[in-house]
Amino acid sequence: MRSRPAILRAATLAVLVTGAAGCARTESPGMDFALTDHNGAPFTLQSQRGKALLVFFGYTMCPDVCPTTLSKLATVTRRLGDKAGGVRTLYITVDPERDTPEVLKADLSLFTLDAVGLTGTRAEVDAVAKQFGATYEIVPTPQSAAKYSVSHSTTLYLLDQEGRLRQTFPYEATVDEVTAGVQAVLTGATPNS
Amino acid sequence: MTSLRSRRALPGIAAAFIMALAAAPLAAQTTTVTASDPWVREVPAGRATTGMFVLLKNAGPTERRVLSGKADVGDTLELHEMKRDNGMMRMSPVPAIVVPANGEVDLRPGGFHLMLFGLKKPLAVGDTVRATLTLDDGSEVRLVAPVRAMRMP
Repeated sequence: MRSRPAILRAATLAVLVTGAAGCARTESPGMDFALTDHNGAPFTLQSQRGKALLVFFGYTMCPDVCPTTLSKLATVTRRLGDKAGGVRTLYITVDPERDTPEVLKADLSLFTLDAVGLTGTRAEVDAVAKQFGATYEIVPTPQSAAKYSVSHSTTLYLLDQEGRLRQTFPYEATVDEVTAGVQAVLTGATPNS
Repeated sequence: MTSLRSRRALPGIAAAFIMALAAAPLAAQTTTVTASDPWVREVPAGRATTGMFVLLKNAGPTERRVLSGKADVGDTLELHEMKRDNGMMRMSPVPAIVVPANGEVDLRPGGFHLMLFGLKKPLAVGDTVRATLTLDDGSEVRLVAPVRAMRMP
């Protein structure tokens, strides 16, 4: 019984240390990965240096979480006004078999948003999800016309201009909260802690 | 004469009885469930799936269940649920959606909703989708749903 709180304390300490390292701007390297964009062109995260990035994982077959998030981010963009040019959205599918570049492009066409749809091989997508700590699960639904659904984590990730993770938002985060986070990154303010 | 008449009348009575039975589900169509504010999310070219949303109210003292439905624009209408589960967003088809007695169920993004599959053409803002939901008492709820863009406040 006594060992349990000790383990919890150790875990808390580890998180704090990691968090502190993440805040040390000069020491933490930016992330990178390679996928295919919604025009079918090769994409690297490295190519986005200089922009604040809002990154989320989803899939287009269930038109709920992803349109809601894209819609929310379109509103964030409007709120940012003339600062909106400093931020870009990356929409990474966890259903690459169905979400071809064409499908992603069609979906993005509905939103007034500077967004890149990203897909790739299953292995490529898995590697990127792992970098972010995003998770998903293919769930067979033989009773449905969709054949399978994809359960997935819905965290929204905010990266700074050097590709460093600065903040995460739950699905329920409001437009105000996301806008404030992006503004902090755009103005070079210290990350929320 | 009398016996003949009664023999002839019997099939007639039987037929009337069967008709009354057949009419029972029709009579139940004075359902207590009504739909308000239905809408369908717009669909770009290249997509064959969308979501349909509506508020269902039950003015009656008995719980009703939506069991199935059909829409004029697609092959299939399914009942689905989205829910948070251990940090994951899970989408899954469900066999029924309950409309509580003297209550309501809001089919909307983030919860229970209707999914349309096999759309034959894009749906743009200004289009209308007609759909019918079938309840557990055999009654039907008809929806005339405008196509909307998804907009956040």
